[in-house]
Amino acid sequence: MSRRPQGLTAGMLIGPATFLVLGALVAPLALLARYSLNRYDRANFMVEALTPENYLRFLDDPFYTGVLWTTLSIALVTTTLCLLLGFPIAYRLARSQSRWKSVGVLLVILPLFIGSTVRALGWMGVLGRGGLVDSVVGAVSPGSSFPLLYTSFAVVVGILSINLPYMVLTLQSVIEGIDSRIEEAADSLGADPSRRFWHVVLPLALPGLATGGVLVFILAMNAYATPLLLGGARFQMMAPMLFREYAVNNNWPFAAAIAFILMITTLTLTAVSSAFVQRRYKAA
Amino acid sequence: MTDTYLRIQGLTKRFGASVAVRDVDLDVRQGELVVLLGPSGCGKTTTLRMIAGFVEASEGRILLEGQDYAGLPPYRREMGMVFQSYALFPHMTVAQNVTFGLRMRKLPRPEIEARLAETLDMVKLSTMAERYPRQLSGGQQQRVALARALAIRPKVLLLDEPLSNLDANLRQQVAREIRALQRAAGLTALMVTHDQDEAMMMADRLVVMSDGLVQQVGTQEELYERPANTFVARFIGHSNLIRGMLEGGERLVIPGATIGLAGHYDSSGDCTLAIRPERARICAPDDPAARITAKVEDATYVGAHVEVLLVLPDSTRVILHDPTDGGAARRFAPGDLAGIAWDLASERLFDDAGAPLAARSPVHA
Repeated sequence: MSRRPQGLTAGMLIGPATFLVLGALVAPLALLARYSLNRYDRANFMVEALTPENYLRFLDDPFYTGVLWTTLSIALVTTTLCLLLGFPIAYRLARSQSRWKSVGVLLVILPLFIGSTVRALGWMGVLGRGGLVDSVVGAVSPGSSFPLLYTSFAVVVGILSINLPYMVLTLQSVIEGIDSRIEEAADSLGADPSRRFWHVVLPLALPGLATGGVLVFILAMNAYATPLLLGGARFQMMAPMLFREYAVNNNWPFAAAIAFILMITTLTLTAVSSAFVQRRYKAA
Repeated sequence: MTDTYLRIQGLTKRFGASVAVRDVDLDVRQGELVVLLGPSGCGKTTTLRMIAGFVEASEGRILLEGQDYAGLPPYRREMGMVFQSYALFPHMTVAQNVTFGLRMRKLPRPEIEARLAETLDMVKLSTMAERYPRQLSGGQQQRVALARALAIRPKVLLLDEPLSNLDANLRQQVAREIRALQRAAGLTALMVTHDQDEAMMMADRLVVMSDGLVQQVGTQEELYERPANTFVARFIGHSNLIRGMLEGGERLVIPGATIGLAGHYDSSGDCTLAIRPERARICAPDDPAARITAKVEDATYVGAHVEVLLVLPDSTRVILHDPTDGGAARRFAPGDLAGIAWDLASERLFDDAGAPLAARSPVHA
């Protein structure tokens, strides 16, 4: 048996992953950070510089801060809805003893097999003028129409349908980790189902709710195809706007600055909520 | 029984086509500790969980002080449960765990404080009130679980394998503590265990279960001295079971030999003889008291007695406990022939269906 120093083996094992992270994540980010400090020029596009003007332009213009605000609102609303809708589903799945449980899990995962663009197209068929909802409303009361497409409602529904499976799967594994006897103990001590939920299940599931919430929030903040297709031309969220600055306007420095503002906002909110939950959890 | 406190009638649980618990009847008096004992899968835990309300009974009634509990959800049953895994609330301190049931009942604060102090004192955990369960040893967690169940002053205390997660050397001590607390509080308790020693040590009465059926209900002595069938004979203590054909009411014919029984039985046909290792003795093969001769396979000195393993002519193995003081076992070496002797009081004969046969003294003895 040949002996190799343990550190060397460990180094060889994590080496490829480290290299990948450095090459595929850190380097492009560093490049992007550099771009965001460059100057845009109509003739030459990107000019080497060290200026905060891209960031200042974003923060000074109510249009851009409005887009950030819309993105934040949509992300917060969808995250809240994901938590409210996802928890009961996850709870039922986690506590299910039925042989149909795996079918239920499959049904939750199934939407993930279809890309977000295709699913947004599906929602367009449901919510658009002459679509499913519109036709039904038209049939019930002739002459009236009910187009939901190109509203923030359509965007919320679209993002929700994409993010819900992630939330359910995260919560399910966390709830499965809570010993069902603990709930029975609460039960036998006189806690009715709602108090059992508030005093025992919810506090114990809180770390899972935080993880799922963060995951879903990040996905919503960065949603691209859904707001683009379901929100329409006048509905603006960060990711589609970023792409337009980059590809249509060819303003790489400003696009890079938008990217960083989006990233920093997401990271800050995630960190704040995690810290809050952690403190709550310790205190509880 | 007029003073029945908890009455269980025809309790049955079916899971699909299989029957986990079949037609269990049991009367428990106030202040009594009854242990449900049986091998895993015998239905004892399902029975307890039906009484707690976690499992819905397929049939039967659970009557507490005459009131039918069948439709009540667990949180209205006022039964304190101690779980095998303790199931403490990990996000609450010891004090919060113990007062949980009291807070759910919305008792006034001074009352909660008083009961907390009293209960923690009972389980000797007064100094641990502000600790979290993860900061406690297994034995301490177990006592918190017990305190939490006792604090609500339950109508019935239910204990599901309360000792099996404890170290072996702690078990006896905790068993005695639980017993003392239960007695002092005058609590009616039902406990489930697969451990015979635990059951024998703690119970007022035992319920032996197997295959979802109650095999026998009785005190330790009743189960040991008068087992209702071969299952109980083998499960409570140990019994050597020897199968053979009863002839003339007092001879058991096994392949290659005949056993001269101590009693006379008004029966015939296939029977099983049960002999306890400590109730028979080993003697010379030509001793007139010998009821059968067997070959000594092994003899091991284990301190309290010598454990002798013998093989009958039909190759049934028999274990005997021979006293270390003045016993005959050490005169025998592996391969020797030896006689086995016992008297009428130690002999149990069961018919083909496993039911005990009554013995009377033989005419010519």
